[in-house]
Amino acid sequence: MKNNGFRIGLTIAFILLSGWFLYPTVQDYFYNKKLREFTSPEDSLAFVKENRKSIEAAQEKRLKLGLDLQGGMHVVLEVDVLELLELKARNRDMVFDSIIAATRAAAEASNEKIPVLIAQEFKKRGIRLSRYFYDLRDSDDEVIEKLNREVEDAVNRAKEIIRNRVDQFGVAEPTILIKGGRRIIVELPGVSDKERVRKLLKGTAKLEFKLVRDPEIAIKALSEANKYLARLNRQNDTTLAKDSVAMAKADSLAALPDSLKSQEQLKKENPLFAVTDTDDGIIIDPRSGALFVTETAKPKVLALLNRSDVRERIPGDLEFLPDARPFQNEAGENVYRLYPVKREAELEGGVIVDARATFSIDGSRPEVTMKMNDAGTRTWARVTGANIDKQIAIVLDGVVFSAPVVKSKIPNGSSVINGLASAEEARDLEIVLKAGALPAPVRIVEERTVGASLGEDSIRAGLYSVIAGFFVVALFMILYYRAAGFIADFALVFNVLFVIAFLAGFSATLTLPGIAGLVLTIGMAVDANVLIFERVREESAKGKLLKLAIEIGYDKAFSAILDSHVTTFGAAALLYAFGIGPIQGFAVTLMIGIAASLFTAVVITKISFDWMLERNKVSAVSFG
Amino acid sequence: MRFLERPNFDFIGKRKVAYYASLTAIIIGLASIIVRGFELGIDFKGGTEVVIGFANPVEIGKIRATVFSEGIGGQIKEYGSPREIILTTDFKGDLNELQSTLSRILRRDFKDNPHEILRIDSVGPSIADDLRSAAINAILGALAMILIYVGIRFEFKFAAAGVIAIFHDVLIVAGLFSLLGGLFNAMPLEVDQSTIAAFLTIVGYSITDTVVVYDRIRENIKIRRNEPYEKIFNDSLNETLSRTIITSTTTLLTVVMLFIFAGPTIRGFAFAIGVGILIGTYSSVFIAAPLVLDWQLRTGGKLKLRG
Repeated sequence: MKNNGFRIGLTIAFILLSGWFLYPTVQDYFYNKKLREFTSPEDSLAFVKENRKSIEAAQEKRLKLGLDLQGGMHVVLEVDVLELLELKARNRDMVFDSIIAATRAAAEASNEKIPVLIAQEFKKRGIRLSRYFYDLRDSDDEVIEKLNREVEDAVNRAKEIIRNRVDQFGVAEPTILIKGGRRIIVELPGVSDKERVRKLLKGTAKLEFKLVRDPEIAIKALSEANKYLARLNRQNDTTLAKDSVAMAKADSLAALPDSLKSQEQLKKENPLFAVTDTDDGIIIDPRSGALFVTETAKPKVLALLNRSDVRERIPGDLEFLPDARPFQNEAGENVYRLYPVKREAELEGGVIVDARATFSIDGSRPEVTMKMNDAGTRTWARVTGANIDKQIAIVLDGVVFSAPVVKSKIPNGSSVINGLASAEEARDLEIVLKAGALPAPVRIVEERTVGASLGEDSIRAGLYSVIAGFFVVALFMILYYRAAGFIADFALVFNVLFVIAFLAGFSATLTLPGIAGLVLTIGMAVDANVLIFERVREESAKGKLLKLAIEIGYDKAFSAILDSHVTTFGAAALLYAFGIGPIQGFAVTLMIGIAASLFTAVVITKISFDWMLERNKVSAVSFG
Repeated sequence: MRFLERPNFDFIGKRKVAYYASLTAIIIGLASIIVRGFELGIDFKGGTEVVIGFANPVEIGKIRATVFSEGIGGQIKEYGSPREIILTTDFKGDLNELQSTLSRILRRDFKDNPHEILRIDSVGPSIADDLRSAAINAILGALAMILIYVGIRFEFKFAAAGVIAIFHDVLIVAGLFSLLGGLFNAMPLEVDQSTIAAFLTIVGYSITDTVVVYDRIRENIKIRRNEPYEKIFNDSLNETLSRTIITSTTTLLTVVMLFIFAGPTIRGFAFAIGVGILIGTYSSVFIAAPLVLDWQLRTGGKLKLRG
């Protein structure tokens, strides 16, 4: 029984290690069971208080279930780096806009860093980067390097801000990491309110206080833009018609007084304004001069106003922002107010040091009160003092939440956001304001969400397949190899145990594909035993004594076992390296399973045979 | 119990037949891949998948009418059971919008059959691109690694033939996916990340099987120096035959259990691995070893084996 002492020692060590790895999981299970048994919340609270430390330790070290098994969200956010760089540019013009647009298209198809892509577009047009970025004397490479650093910094900040938001939202065990330079992976187990989470993650939370401009200025600017668009329309019409009669007709029509024109003609000449109530343009309230758009008209109007040629016709310090929330008109359609505001903000959200979700004084409407830092307080006092009886719009991510009229100078740096739909929204707003604004907008580029009930179904399905898989294989081995098959099954139990224990020990996550990997491992793990047993049968068929046959069997089968394990392990390792999420779970279980089977199927079975032979139970050792 | 006591099949003699059979299968598969292509899952083409469960069985036609009338395009199919449906759409807008629209219209039109959104998967085009290149890298990487390892442990001819056998297995399974893609409701056979995982598992399994046969050939070549390679190869195949069949059996048994119990997400994956195991077993006997032999007979000389 040579070097069996070592083998037995190793086996015991592995079993102890597995127990150590699995203990927290078992502990956690019993804590949860106990907590469910308590009938009154006081009892369970008392129990948690008493055992807080060990409950938390168990939770941290237990085998973690993947999002597909416990439900939750996996979200990949992409930081809109281009937008960030656009803001960094000194003087944006048409050329710059076209470069940005070209880069945006290039970025879709490439994984190259954005600054590098921008530089390529600049090079194509023969323009130096320093014309728009940083110091004029900088070389292109210097600018790229600075921009790269800027991007890296922004993504890191975005990650921290998102972590703050997630922490305050109250998700247990979130995972937040940066991947590939501009993506942030957020994993939120057990989250059920998907809509809220999406909003919470995506919102830039850029808070601005902007002065509302007089309606006269707004209407004048809009009329200019309208005239320009009408002229474009007319030009299009005539180029389409291309004959002098049509052109003359169009000109004469334009000269007619409005009252004589048909609806259709009026619309053509007023691309920006609504002609009738149901129309898709801007509606002007004749008394107050306030502007409105219907829900259907909103996207079109905003797109028109954002066109760079239209922007040029509107004074540079004026922009139009919609309300955050619509109201309903008599026809039942949602209508948004459109605020003309000064483009340059009087004050930005960076000055906010605290935010709190509360209710208005009469207790009916949710709102968020904010406190500013010293510098913010001073500016706020000056701005409010200088604009008494005027409106200041509170703008969050480009939409107006409220636009209160300033009644008096506000000296203490407080301000209020109202116009919120629910207490929940106020709470989420508090979270994002406290966490601060993202340095650049983010987009959700990938999302995988699993409901809790589906997770439970998957756990059950996984469990059934593990049990079924184990039993068919175990039964087959016993039928085919008799006593030797039984020993192989004995080793197989340890294999399953080791896989689960090491998953917990490496703090890997168990996913449904991971369970599939475990089931598959069960089928493949006996391969080593099959190889050995077949060899033993061959050797005994040649007339060798059983003891010798077993020795030779193990010896000769080993090189095949090793080679086949290494190759399968390699394939699984590559799968781990290139896969994501659930697929990695599959790869990890497969890798652990393969490594474990090398040990269990070779070492543990050998110990068992040796033990039986030692006890002279040779007659009991049968290879079927 | 024993199957095949002392088998003595003439595998090597029949190898030409096997070559033609395999070539036919590969050509049909490739033709289908070129003509029909694959049913790509959202992982590789981008898009959004929503799985919705209802309290009672629903009529797919009615759901389609409701959802499409709201301007949401795409495909709606039954998913695993008549109480669950899957909507695949290339909806580009906000997921919140999609989700609330779906909830609203399903509540409106199916008042007495409450629903729950079980799963939403949404993959943007840039991610889909990344996943595609990662998948290709993974498979190529696996093949390169196997080529190197088997080359070191045996000999280059063995390694190359092993890799050809893997190509053979993966191509046939991929061809099958292309031919049958979208034909079964219970198992869409879309190519997505889990299919790639299945392919890599097949790669691993196929080489395992092949290596075991190679190992026996190597051993026999060392012992029986003066016999013709044809005989050594054929005997080695026969000697390992029962092991080959038993291991395939145990693995297939577990795959069948997965197919039955592990639910719709795993089904296509289990199917791929199951077919892959059958083909991988066939190829290690009829393709990998015979290719080495043919190659060796052509170049002549002695095989110099390491290991």
